[in-house]
Amino acid sequence: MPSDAQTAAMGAMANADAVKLAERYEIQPSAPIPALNGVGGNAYTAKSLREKRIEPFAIICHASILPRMDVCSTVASLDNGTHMRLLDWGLVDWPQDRGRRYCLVFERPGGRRLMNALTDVIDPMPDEQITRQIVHPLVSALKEMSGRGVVHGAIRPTNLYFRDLASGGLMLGECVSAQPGYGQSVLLETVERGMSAPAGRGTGTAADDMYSLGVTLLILALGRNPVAGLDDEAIVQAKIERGSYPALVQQHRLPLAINEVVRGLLVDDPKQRWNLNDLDLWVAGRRLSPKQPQISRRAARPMEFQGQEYWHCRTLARGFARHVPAAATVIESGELDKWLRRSLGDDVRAEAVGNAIQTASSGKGGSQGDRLVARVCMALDPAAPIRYRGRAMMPDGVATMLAEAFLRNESPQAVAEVIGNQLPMFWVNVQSDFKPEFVPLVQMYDQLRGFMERSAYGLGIERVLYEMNPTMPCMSGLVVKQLPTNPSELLRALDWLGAGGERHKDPIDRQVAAFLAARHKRSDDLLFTQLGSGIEPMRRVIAMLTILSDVQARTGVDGLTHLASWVQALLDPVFRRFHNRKTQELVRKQADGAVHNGRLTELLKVVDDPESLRRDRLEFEAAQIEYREADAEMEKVRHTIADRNSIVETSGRQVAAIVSSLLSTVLVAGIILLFAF
Amino acid sequence: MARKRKKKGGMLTLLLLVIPAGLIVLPTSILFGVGMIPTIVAYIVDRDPEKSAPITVGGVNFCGCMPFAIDLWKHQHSIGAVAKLLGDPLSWLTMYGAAAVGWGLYYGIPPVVAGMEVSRAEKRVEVLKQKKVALVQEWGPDVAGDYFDESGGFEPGEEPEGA
Repeated sequence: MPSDAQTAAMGAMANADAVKLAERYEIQPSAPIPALNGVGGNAYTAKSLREKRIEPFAIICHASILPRMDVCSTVASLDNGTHMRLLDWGLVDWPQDRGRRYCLVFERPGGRRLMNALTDVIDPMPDEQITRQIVHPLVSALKEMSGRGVVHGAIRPTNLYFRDLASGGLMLGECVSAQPGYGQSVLLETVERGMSAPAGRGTGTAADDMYSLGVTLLILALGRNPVAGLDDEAIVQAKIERGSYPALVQQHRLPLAINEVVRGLLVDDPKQRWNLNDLDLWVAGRRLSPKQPQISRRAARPMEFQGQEYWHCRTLARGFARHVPAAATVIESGELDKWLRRSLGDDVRAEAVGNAIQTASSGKGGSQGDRLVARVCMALDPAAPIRYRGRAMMPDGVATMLAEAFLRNESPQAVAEVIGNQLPMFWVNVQSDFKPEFVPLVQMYDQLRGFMERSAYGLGIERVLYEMNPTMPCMSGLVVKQLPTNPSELLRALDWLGAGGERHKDPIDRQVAAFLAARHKRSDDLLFTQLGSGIEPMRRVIAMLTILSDVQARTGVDGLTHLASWVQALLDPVFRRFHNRKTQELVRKQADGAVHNGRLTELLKVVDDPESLRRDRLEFEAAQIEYREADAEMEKVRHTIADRNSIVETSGRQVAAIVSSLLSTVLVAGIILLFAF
Repeated sequence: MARKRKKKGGMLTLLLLVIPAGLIVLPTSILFGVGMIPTIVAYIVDRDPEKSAPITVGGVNFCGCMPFAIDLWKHQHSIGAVAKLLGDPLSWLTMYGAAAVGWGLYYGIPPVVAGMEVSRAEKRVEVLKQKKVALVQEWGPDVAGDYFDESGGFEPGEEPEGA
């Protein structure tokens, strides 16, 4: 039963007006298309405002999922009929949550979805139809994508559509509404990616797409999911123990041709797995010899752990990751080392584990046990994801894992500790094969660790979030509903917010600071350190205004009257820097003018003019001296007149003597004149 | 000690010069010696090192004696003439009356002078107070710094009128 909030939201959607995507497409919130809903969002009817021939539909992405905006332009440029065509993308004002949402507009497929769920049962597809309708067109589509460096990451039977009702041709569904592998069932992912959390699978490679295609072909050939009765854990376990092909195909009999391609695509070793060229050759009719699955080294004696027997490193690593405290005890007791050297006879692995134990103590954050087990698991199973505190992620999936934590408002602590403890670096170190893509990965994590170690504004985990996810919108609580994806949008969002009643907060919080530090590279990191709560309010506001005005100057966003007014309301300590009341009033008036124009640079110039401040300071010092002198003189005068007797006895008597003397002189002169002559 | 010795030396020189001169003009000396007794008394009783009382009284007292001295010099400069003058009560009244006027000046002028000086100082205090208020109005209470006191007009943090 829907809650009151849901009912209200549904009511709002039913009555909502059409929303526009950049005056090019019109989306009807009141006309959902559940049949086209994707993992990343729900589908709605859309209308092209320019080209009437196109019949589009829109996917409005869920607020908690980050779409692949970085590959949108590449995907849109794909000129292939077998891939759902991306027509447009952007942000729309969505009435349901009175905020903005990512919107992706696609060309609507003519037919229905091939399978609505992996639990569906359909007629097994003949090998000829699989070859003609799926493998053949998909190879060209995937080749084009691969050529442009894009991994599809969403190849599954539930993401295949009939192009039209008549021909029966199929097309591959969209791959941009969610990160690669996010919507994939464990069944369709390789063992390693299957062990990862959906958000932590990373971008992956074309080989991962090949694997998904292999499982898709298997399901279509059988008409159903061959392991429908197994849960995700059991599927991964079966794939590890027996290899993907035997675990999934089991005793089912596949047509010979399809069997060959499925076997080739389900090879667990990505280097041995069929690639697009192999598929091309197969389509051309050349039959390749089936590759035998490689079984990992089995120990002579099992290792008993938590009541279970483990024969392989990979399964043991999984067991360790599930029971960390017990695993830490086993590792520290040296039992694991003995088992690796004596039962498995793998000294190289034992050395790697030894190295993991040694380096585990050097990390920061989290418990020693967590760090130890995470590193030992990587040493035991280098290809597997990083497993730390119950979370599993590939090194290239840490970014999306972190993004998901913020998007879902969950704690990013575990992911932060993965970066802080340098687990991705260790993962790279334990890989047996060096790959060129490891170099930028190592460089990136080295840089990120520097951000992580400092907690000032513009740094910390928030900075890492934006550095790792170039398309991540600003997640500040102030503007998150507006989803600003670049500094200019952020300024507009803050301006919009300033028009409302949110002025009791500062316009730059930790998230906004980190977002600007990451996206507005020219900004000075030192300025961000001035934003901390320990800094005096005047310096904080000036730093805030300097950052915002710099962004405005460089982005050219004009008319930010509300934001300027918001900042002005915080500027009182800055105005009070001017001691002279008249100057203060004048500066306030000039600031009003700058606010009216919406120019932050002008406002900054008014309130932080060094020459005016210097002059004011000098004059103030002179006034202080004048005041002190007046005070001293007043004190002296008061002291003098306080003792009246003293005046009488000193100057009074002196004056009397002088008066008497003068009088006497005059009188003597008079007497002489009068009496002598 | 040296100063005391110098003072004693000065007095000795004065006595050596005055006594012979006094003996030469003995009638005049007797007249002034008797007529200026109030001044001598003033000199003795005045503890002020400036000796403003003998100066004030002495000047007027001298004026009181002066007409009789001229009369003495004009008619007969003799002991008898002096005795005759001193025998006349009017002479005494004139000389000692003049000394009384001197005392009057001595006691009358200082309070007037003090009153005038206090009045002038109060006006100056008022001007200075206005100046301080104007400075506070223009620059705020911070201009007072540590010197801000209640006599200055405003408590720290209190806004002056018109500020």
